[in-house]
Amino acid sequence: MNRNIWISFLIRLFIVFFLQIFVFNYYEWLGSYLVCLVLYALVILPIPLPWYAGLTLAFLMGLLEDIFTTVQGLHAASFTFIALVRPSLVRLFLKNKQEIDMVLIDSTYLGWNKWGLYVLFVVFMDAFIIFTLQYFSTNIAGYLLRDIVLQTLLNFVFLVAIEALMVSVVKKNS
Amino acid sequence: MRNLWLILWRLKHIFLFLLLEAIALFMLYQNSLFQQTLFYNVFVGVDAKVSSIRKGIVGYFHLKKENELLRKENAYLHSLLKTSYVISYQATFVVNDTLYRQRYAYMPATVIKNTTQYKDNYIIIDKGKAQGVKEGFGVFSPEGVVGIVDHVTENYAVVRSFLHSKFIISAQIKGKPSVGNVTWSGKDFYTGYLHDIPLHIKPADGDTIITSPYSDIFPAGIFVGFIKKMEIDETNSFYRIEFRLAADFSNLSTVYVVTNLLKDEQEEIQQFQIENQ
Repeated sequence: MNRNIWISFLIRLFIVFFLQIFVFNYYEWLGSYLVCLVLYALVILPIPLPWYAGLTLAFLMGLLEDIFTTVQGLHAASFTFIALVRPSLVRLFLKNKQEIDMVLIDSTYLGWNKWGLYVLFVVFMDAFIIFTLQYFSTNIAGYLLRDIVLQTLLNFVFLVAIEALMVSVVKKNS
Repeated sequence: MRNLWLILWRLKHIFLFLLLEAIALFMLYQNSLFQQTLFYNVFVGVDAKVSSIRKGIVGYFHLKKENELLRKENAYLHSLLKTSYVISYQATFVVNDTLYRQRYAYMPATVIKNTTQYKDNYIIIDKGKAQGVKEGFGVFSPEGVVGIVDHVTENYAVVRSFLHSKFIISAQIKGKPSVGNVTWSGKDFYTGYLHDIPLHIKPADGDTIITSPYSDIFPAGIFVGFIKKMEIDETNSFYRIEFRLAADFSNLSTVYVVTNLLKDEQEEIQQFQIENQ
């Protein structure tokens, strides 16, 4: 069971990284915003994980995104923070708060409404951290709120779209 | 002691979180030469390889636009040739070739990676140490100024884009004597600011901003942008001019790396002047 979950996760991780590196890192939307599709892998990362695994995996995924955007440490910082709060966030959306078996946190598990809300939280946190850290490091004032809102919306739309695509592919195959 | 250890063990994930965050923030804020060298040498090669593969595939779809730009630039360069001019002033003068020393050399390069989303944006080009590119060289596109080389690996160079919070070069309004500094606005990828233009200069909307002769990175006269808006700055002595960047950062492809062949000599004399002050 766990093995299937990990295989499913790794296939999706590979797809989103491939799309990120070869497609999405080259197209700016709504002016100059890059879609961070890699967040999808962080969103669906199975829960529960050993105490060190979630944080370390998130840090490495962020670092990989940093390498391909030539920004040092920005996504790594954001992804690590999200990995810290994510288990509590997922539990917030679960009716049954007892211990859960290892699951992928996708729309099939949470349901579209809850999953959408959960994704909205995650993409907002990511945009908030990414832009706040940049504004601290560069002292360029203003536009922080605009950047956070637009980036959140953009990532949300694409994460929901990729999930819809994955679900339809899985349904077809099963 | 055992209880203390238990408490610490219970908080182990917080410690791991703090450690990873500290590493990430250190990378973000501590831009030391060692760290940049490590980062670029290890990772830029990987990123550049991936981008090159992609560029090889996608590049074909933009050939038409690219050719159009190069044709325009060719036409402009033809117009600068001596053969494009007739001598209207008939006074006798002596042409002495030794009078002219070449100051700038140009090398074409291809942009293989470009970001515009961040507050400190970088561009990767396909020329590096092996082709003679060094840190501090200027980079411009057929349309205008693009950036300054920040770091070079064997076959690639990382260019600090105009869209970087620490990018600043000397520039002037075409046809006006005063020189100021241009920076990126930070708002979007097509707006910049020209600072320190005194109030007695009367610029107009649409005026062209070009690099000034005082820059030791770019030759004079390279397009920087076109004036959009003007306001008087906090000191009440200068204009702060908002302009539209000449280079289209959403679609960079062919660029030129410019070398100031006299830069070392220029810096040497400046250093001499500083030491003797």
